[in-house]
Amino acid sequence: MLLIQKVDFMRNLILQIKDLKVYFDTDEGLIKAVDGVSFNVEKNSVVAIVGESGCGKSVTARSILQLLPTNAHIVDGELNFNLGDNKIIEIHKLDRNSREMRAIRGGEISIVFQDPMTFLNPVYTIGYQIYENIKEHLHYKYRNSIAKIHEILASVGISNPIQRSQQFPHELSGGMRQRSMIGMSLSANPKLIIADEPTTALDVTIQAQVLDLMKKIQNEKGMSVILITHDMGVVAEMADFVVVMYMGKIVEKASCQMIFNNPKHPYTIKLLESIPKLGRGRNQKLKPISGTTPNFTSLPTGCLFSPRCDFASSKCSNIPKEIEYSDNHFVSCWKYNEEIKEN
Amino acid sequence: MRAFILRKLLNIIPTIFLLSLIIFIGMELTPGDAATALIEPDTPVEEIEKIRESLGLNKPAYIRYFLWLTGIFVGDFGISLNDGSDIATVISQKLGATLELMLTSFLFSSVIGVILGIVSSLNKYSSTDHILTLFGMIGLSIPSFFFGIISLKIFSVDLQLLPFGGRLSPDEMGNVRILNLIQPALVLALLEIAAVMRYSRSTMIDVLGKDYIVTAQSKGLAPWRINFLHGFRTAVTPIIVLLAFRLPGLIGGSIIIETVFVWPGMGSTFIYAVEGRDYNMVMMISLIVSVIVLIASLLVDVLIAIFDPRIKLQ
Amino acid sequence: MNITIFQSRQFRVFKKHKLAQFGAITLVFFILVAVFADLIAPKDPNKMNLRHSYKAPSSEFFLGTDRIGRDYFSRLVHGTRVSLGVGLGGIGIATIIGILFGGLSGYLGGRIDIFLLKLSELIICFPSIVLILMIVTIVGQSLLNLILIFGFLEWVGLYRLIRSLFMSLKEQEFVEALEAFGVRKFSIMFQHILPNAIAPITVWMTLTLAGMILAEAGLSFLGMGVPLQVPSWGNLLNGAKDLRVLENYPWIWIPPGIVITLAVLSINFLGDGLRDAFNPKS
Repeated sequence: MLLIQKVDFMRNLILQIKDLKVYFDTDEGLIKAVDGVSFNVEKNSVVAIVGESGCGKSVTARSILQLLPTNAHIVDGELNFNLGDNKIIEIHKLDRNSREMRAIRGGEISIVFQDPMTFLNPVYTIGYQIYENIKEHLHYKYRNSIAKIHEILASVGISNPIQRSQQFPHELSGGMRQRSMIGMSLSANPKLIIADEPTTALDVTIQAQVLDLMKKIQNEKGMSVILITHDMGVVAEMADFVVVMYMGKIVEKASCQMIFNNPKHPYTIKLLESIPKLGRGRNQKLKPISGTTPNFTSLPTGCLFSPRCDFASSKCSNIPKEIEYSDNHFVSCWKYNEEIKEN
Repeated sequence: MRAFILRKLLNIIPTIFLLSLIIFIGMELTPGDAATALIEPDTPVEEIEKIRESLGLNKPAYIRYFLWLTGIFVGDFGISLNDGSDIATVISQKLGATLELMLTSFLFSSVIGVILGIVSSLNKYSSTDHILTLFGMIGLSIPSFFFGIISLKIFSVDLQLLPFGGRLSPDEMGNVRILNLIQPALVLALLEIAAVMRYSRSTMIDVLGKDYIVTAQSKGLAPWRINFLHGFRTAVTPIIVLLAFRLPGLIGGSIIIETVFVWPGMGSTFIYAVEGRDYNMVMMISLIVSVIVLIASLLVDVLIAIFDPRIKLQ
Repeated sequence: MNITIFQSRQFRVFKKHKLAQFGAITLVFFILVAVFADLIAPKDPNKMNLRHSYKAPSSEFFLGTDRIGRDYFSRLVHGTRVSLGVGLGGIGIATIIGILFGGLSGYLGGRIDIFLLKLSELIICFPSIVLILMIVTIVGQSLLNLILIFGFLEWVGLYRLIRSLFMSLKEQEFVEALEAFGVRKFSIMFQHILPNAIAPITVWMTLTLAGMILAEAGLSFLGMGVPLQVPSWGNLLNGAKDLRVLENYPWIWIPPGIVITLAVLSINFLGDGLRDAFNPKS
């Protein structure tokens, strides 16, 4: 698609990921961590990417900001970002350390990581680490930044922001650290925030608080959020649109409502069955998904989920094509090709 | 911070006493004492006994230990068994030379070693890295005195550019003095550079793989900022610890180098004392050296506390 | 996709392999020379003949002769046995002490731990050479003394390693289970916990061996290590202290120096390779 056409297509989108392929070369061989992933993120919406560990959701998120390790490469695909004012940035074409890419990181798109203990530098104060972002993107001088830092810390619900900004990460609790990370990511008013399992490392009560905070911010500032998680409960609470990934590919994507009320892919169905649901009583039978994820170096041919699928048939030895089951609800499964044909 | 330093000081005092005890026991185990140092040969036994008595050498051991220890605090380190000279005087004369050699070496090797290590780590697996690593390995494997001999052969014997050894007193011209200092200092530095470079490299690589580096990248910071303000800044602490650990080895190395280049410092004095069975001198120098190492480790603890906010000062 | 990326990483792994292999082969070579020194050395290393003083290398004397006419090549060959022997002997003793002390300290704790820890701290205060020379001064210089001194002083590094290993593993559940079953402490320590440490112990051994060989060389060079009549690599280099030798007789000081460097280098390569091999690949 020409750039001009892209502008038009992306009028309501903040980000378009098209056929993204990210491969790792390792000592054990080539690992196709992300193998043909496509989805759109609409403005002012929350898109959740769900899946088990190792399905490629984190890699997808990091490749948006080109934060991949040196042995990983974006082999194919497009990452189109809507900067506003009819400007589309083709992230996949940018050089990893170029000025443009660095301007986007933290400035237009920022990311919140999972474990604030390891993702914050232990030798610098919280205030300084936020200041770095402000300096880089807003070009404030230090004097002017101090007030802004306190404002940011207050906005993420940290009491005593003046005192806290002078403290080091190890002096804060887990929840406060994560709030600081969130504050840091907001500090330059980005258009899109990627949250990579933001609550996984936190206590359950703190989790709820942080999620509430994120929802509040998203509403107030009209930001778009890509939320990476393996927790369907978090998805239910936060997401507008859900992308389900398995072994580097998308198996189903639909609105949050559709995913919960009318899941189609066998994997999605299994995912939902394996979590307890409030209100269904004490003796719910939880059904874990049988089998384990195959080794990346010895993948099955055809549909990657077929070894664990209850509905597998001979057709599944071919890779299923993605079909649009209904409005903005996509599935990659042979089961539904028939239904569409019949209809 | 003051409380921190005080606490650390309190910790090492018992160790210092233990060290002095070990040294004293060592001195007891070796033949000869102050009396034998002072006498002419052929002195009749009764004379020797009288001298012993007057020096208080017949008192019980624990009293002698106490006297000896208090003596040290007022600067009386005993006398050399070889020539009766005052050990404290000898040491103060020679200490300057050793310090000059060691400090030059230490500074040079630390700076160069760390820089090369960083360069290596930032260009991981490049040919520069491979070459530096190989040189590092050779530097670690070559005996320092062999390298010193090679250097002497090339620069002093064949090319006659540098003097064979010895040291010019501080009164003489500064420029000329450097000629004498260059070889011993650089040879001593070689082994250090290799070790410091290797460790700096691995520490930097380790730190650059940490999660907070990804965070720094995610803020769009410039690569040099990330490598130095986030990378090196965090790597500084373990590197300082390493440099401190190398200190005893540096002292040991200077003993050998001072011998090869006839540098009139504590090291060569120590060797002459060992060769000449000057037990007093040997023991006293050992004591001084060990106390220096102990104090240096305390300084390192303070340095680390300055650089790493996670260390509790209270 | 870039093929060269493949090349660079696999190349690196292979290259490390190669260096470690080189190290291992060279080390084995030296050990063989040490073991079969009597067969390899053409002449008696101690036979003096003042008429042959400082002769250059020839077909009769492969590496020439030293100051008192002894065949230098034979001395170098026998020196291999002595230098390696000192190193291996010292390492053996130090390893046993290090493991024993470390285990007792880490597993049993209490007074033993306090005592041993303090002992290790005291030893560490002294630069290695200073302490060794101090003790040599007291007990006298001999080959056996040297090995014993090395062994009794160099265990500290291993001690720390083993101690922290035992301290951390002691808390783990499988140890509790073993204790509950009444397995004797000694047995728990050495049959169950210790095998976990084979990797770091081996790495430590190779690196410390390298250090010991260098230390022996340095001490002997100073005349304070192996007694001068007995040939050792360091002793041979002692001859280079004489300026005449440096000016005129390169076969005296070059071969021993190169041999020491080669031996230590190969041990270091081997140790590096072992360390990489034991490192879980991320």
